[in-house]
Amino acid sequence: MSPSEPRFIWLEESEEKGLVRSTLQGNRQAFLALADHYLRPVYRLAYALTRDRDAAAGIAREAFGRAWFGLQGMPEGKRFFPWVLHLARNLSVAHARRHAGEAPIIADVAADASAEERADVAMERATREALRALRPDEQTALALRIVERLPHEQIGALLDQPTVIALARLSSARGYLLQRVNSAMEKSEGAA
Amino acid sequence: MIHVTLPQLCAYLDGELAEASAELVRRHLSECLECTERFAKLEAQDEILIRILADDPQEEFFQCLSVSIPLGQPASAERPAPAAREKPVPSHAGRRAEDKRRNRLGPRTAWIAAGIAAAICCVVAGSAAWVVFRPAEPEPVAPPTVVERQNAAAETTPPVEMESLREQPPDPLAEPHSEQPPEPMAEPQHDPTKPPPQEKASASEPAPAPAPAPTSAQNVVPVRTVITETIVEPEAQHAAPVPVPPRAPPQSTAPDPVALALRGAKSASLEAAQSKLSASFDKSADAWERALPLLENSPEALAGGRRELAQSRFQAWAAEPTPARREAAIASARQYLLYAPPGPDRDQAWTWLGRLKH
Repeated sequence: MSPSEPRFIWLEESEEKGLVRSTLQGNRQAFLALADHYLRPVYRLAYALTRDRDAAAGIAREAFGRAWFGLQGMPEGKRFFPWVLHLARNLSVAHARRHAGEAPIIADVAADASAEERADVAMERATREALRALRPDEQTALALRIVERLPHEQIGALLDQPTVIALARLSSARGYLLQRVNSAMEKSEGAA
Repeated sequence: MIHVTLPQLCAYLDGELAEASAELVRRHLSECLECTERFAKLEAQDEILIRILADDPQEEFFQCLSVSIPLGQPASAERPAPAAREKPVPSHAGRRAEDKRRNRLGPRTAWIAAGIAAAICCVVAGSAAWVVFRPAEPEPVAPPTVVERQNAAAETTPPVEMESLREQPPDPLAEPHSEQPPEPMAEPQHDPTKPPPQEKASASEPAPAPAPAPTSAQNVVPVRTVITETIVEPEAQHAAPVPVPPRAPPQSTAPDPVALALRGAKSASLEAAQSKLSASFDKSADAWERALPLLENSPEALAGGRRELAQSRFQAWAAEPTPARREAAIASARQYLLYAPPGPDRDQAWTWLGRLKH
């Protein structure tokens, strides 16, 4: 897989519909097949939104648990993956709100670190701080692009929005991060 | 000079521009230092974002996660039929009207239902508590007298015909006694409204047939109580009556290793909770760690064991923090959280994990 290709492959629509139909009849194996296929991208999105491995695992687990019990509520004609991704996204946002007051976990700079390494760590810290201020849809779009390498069209489809809106979310998120990180770096350089 | 906009730069960075547009941006970037710097910053930022946002655990992690997805009873049994899913969605006005109706009737109906449910619960719980924790009947005032009377009656007079019992008010619902003496009791805890069989002193004897219906209109419940308290060995009827517990504990020949391990782990937990020493918590955690493999066949016990292990590890760390204890506590908390159902215990484990991480 090349670095620009998406990291996951959608199930064939007919196959996915068959699995959903079987699941609605109570077939666990069908649901497990769906979960097995989409667990990784759901986990990766949850991690990108929470930056916490344990929380992401819990969210992915809960999202699929809710999907199992609530599959009959999935809108007709909607694909399974966007639906379960939406569940995970909502759970991640709720988790982030619950932990909004906590400081992000950032590794300390080694005492003998070079100026370049220090700048890297400072930039990462500023980026982490700035990420928390992004709106959920911006964070989701960014995660789907950066982590999953999805094209804008698919990001829009997953967010239930047109492609141009997906691009707008991405560019506003990137612009905001750039601005916040630049100002933070300028401040830290001024202080130094 | 007209600069490239941020959305255009982003689209170019993501390879989403058409070839003609991409060529224009490329040409502009070759001429404009400001846009080139901006583009370079965006690229560098994406690199940092990959480091921050991406996590790629091992395949085992996902296998474990997949197994731990909480799939309870299949919801399909409660699911509406496909036709039910196709019912028309009410309009906004219809929804508002429905909401109003629910708001008007809902809370009141809910309070009434809750009150009725609470009353039923109270009655049921009270009845159950009375049956289970009912105070024992007072000892016969003169136990030897009972024995003497039994001896004098030469086994023809059943112990139920004691004067103290005759004083009980008659139960109109109780069936009349027969003339025969009550049979030995097979199981002390059975339905008190049924005629109670009498238990022989030897617990190893097979359970006899249930007693016939009593003849008189005596209350049946106290009869059973007195019988269980004044049973006398046939060979030792002249000796003083010894109270016999209603149920002898089962005697097992070989100790169950699961029960042994559980008992050991629980006692270690108890000891640790009393002493509050880190070493005791370590000991308790070790005991639970040894017990866990034995609980594989009991999901509930296994979940409880994982929780106890996580709690012991956390408390050991909290009592005396060391890096090794922290790592062990994080690992056990993660293990517990991977399988734990939602609830207060799970929330508490999250709290432990949060404290361990920070």
